[in-house]
Amino acid sequence: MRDALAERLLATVLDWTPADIARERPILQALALLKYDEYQQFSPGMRFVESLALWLEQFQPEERLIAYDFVRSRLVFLSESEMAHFVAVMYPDFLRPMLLARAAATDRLSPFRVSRVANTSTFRRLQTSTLFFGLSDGARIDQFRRSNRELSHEQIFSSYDLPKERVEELRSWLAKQHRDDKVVPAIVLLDDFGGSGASYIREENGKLKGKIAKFLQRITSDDWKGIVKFPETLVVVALYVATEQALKNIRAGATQLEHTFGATLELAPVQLLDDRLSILASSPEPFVRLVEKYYDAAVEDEHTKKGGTDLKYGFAGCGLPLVLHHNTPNNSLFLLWVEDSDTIRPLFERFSRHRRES
Amino acid sequence: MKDLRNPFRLQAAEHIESDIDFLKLFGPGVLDLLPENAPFARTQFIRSAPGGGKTSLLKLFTPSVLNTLVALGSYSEYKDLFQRLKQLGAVDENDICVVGVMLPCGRTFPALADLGFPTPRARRLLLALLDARIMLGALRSALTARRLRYPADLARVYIETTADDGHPPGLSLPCDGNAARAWAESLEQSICNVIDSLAEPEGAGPSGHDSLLMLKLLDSGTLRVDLTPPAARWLLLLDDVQKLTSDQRGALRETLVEQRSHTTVWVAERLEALSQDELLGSGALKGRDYGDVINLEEAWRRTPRRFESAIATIAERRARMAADVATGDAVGSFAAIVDGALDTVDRVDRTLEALAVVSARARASAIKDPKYSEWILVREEIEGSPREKLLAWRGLEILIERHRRKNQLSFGFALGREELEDKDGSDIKAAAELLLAKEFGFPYYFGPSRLASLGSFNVEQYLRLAGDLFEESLARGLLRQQPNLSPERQQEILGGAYEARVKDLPRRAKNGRDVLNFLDAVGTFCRDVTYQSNAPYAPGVNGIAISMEERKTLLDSGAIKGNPSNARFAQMLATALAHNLLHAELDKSVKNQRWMILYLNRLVCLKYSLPLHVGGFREKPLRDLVSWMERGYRLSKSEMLAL
Repeated sequence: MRDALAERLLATVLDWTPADIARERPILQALALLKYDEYQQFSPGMRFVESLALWLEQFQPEERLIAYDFVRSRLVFLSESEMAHFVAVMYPDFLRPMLLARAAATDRLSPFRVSRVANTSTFRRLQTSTLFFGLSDGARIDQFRRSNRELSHEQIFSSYDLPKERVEELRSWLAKQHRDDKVVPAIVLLDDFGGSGASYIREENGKLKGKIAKFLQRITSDDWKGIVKFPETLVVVALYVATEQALKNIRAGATQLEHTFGATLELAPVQLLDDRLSILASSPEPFVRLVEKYYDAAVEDEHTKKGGTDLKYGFAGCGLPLVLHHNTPNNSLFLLWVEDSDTIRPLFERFSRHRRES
Repeated sequence: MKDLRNPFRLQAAEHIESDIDFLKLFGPGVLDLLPENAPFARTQFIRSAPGGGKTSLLKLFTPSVLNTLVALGSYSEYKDLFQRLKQLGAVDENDICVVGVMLPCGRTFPALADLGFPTPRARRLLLALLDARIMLGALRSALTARRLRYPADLARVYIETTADDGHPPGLSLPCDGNAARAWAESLEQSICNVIDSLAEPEGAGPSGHDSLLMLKLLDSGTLRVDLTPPAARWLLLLDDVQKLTSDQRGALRETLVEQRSHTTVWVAERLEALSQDELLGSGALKGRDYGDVINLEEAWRRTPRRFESAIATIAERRARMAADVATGDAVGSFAAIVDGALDTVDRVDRTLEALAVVSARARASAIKDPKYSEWILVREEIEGSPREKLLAWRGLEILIERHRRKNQLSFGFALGREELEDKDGSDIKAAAELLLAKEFGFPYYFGPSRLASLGSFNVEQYLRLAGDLFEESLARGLLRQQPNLSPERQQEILGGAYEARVKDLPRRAKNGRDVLNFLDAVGTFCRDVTYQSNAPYAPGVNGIAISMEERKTLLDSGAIKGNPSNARFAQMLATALAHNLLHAELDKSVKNQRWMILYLNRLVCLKYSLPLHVGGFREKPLRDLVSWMERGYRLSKSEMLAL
């Protein structure tokens, strides 16, 4: 649809006067140009303004302005360049200081004497033998590698599921690097977004589940013997974007991990999403009425039930008004991303791992 | 270019990426403000408030823009501009005649001042850094002038040995463009290293230059491309000079004046760079073009018709560009969207209603006092449209009120037609229009001419206002409505301009709050004076005046020291003048005294419903004005009674 047609549709849907259009159109166009048009799950030819017009059209006329105001004032869209920035600053601004602090403590130096600490063999060993693993495609390992030239490619892995041969190669590389001391000081698990934290660690039927638990089980197997030793090896969960709720849940799970594996876990979130960002049933915002009214329970399935709530406010009731440029997290408000519904359409179509068979 | 939908929003020349788009949008009117031989004359200072059009003017003389213009000069769209530049000698039929080297002064130079070096060393480093950047700019411009690529074709640049020994130290001549570039980059880097160094910088780094040696090198004509000079003349274009510190500006000005270089130098700076004394002093404000300084707003003020025509051209070009991108909503002409007449069929009823009210009031006055009967008869006989009649009747009311106030004790002789004709001037008509607007809610701020006045002789201010109107016209197009805007709607849209453009001054200027307080007081005062039933200063007042004697005390550093309120007022005034929120006219003679008149920016007039004409002002003692700034607008009892 041509931009002008989409804008005309939007103006009709919202019953805008020329004054309204003159006020709102430059803002919408700027938002679309700077961010929203880059959403990767829009179907070919679809752009933000068209999607917005069609999304608003499904509400009652008197509700449309409420929905529009929500998009204008509450929606948080993290663009490609913002995510790339988070990746670029993860090591220098978050992980490296953590390693520097650890080196300073080991060598009993003041952590404020950064140059001195950075020149110690302790820090150099920490930096050159810490291992980095991507927990999903969102970890953007390629960008992480390119952004951190002080790290060797041999330390960085795009997946946390290494075949046995690759573990052996790693063992040899570590031996070559550090001869007698092959135990890695830290393992960093990189991922793009933590919404509820449930995919990282949760308890199901009395058992620990999730990516972190799965990973720790793997590296405590015989294959990894001599490379990883807890608590000497620190585990860092490094998230480019994370909610407070996710961090709280991961921290809660960390106690159990320590108990089960003896591992100490630390968190390194780059962009923290404050709890106040969330929109919940108790929020006074008028958009809540629409969330309640237009909910389609038919989209729930066995996967969504793991969150322990319905999906009105997203998976696990996170209530996020959040969209990432490549996909919309299911922790966001249902109305933003709803998939496979016959009654309601999303503003930002979501691509799901657990897509239903059509 | 990112957003062509509303090209009025493209305000800074540096944001217009393509040369063709830049030329399409450039209004040649500003070239009329330059002296005939400007590109070949001595150093020229170009000053204005932000948005006056300095950068656009400088960019026009850069080689890539001039080359594009030479190529497109025969097309009707560019013909005017091409001919004007040809008259100035910047281009001929086939080629460009000046090579502009544009150098923005915002980067690095201010950091150099922060090092705290003694003045001579700071000056030498400043000149060295300027030389390095001029060399890099000159190499790029020379190649661009010949339509070659930078840096790929640097080997085709050759710098011969100069006759005198004034060439820059460290640069071995003769050399090619690559060697010259390496020299400039290395010099620039060494100075940046001094800035970046955490060690004590004193004594470190290059020794610097004692004059602008690159100007001497350019003067010598030894920089050639394929063995010939890139054009007849070099033109050094220094932009954003207000970003230099006051000492740096002083050093640069001294050097340029002392050096008397053959190469023409244009220095563009905002008025805010000027000191308080310069702003309040006669040099900057008298509005005289004394050869070396062009104050753009001042120059336009001297020829308001020319300003109106120049910005009308700019507006038309922008509207045409919007139509060219074929969004389907743009009408392609700005004049077509700004209705300029109230005398239209759809307003007849409202006008007739107002006419009935006003004429009845005037007749009632005549019944009470029969000496005005003849005047009433004259108005009864008047012919014209309802609006013309309405203005005439309201004008009559003003004249009756004036006569009544002045002649309370006069005999009751009937007043004749001739007396009415004598008194009934254009000022009365203008006052009548303003008073009718207030009484009956007719729009006043609309139409091309008043829109131009609201620009206050600043191109950016005009473009912002016009852009607001154009945006709504596009919106109407989107809804398939007529794209033109009624006078009422124009006034409504423009009404928000003060809040949008002036209110944020405290964020932009350190004493912005004082300026806003003062503008508010002056605006309120002018409104009180303007809206009197006898319209004593028809069409109204939009300025205040301080005696030249009192102005002197603001410039006297000794007197200022002992009077913090006056010092604060002087600072406030300098800020308001630098931001074009006040405009000063000096040495105006009124009632045997000399006055400095301070006229309000037209956006302030809009906020306080004041007329846009130039001329109406009231004299006020300095102490009253200082008190207005500090405590807000207050009138004495006698003033209140007089009103």
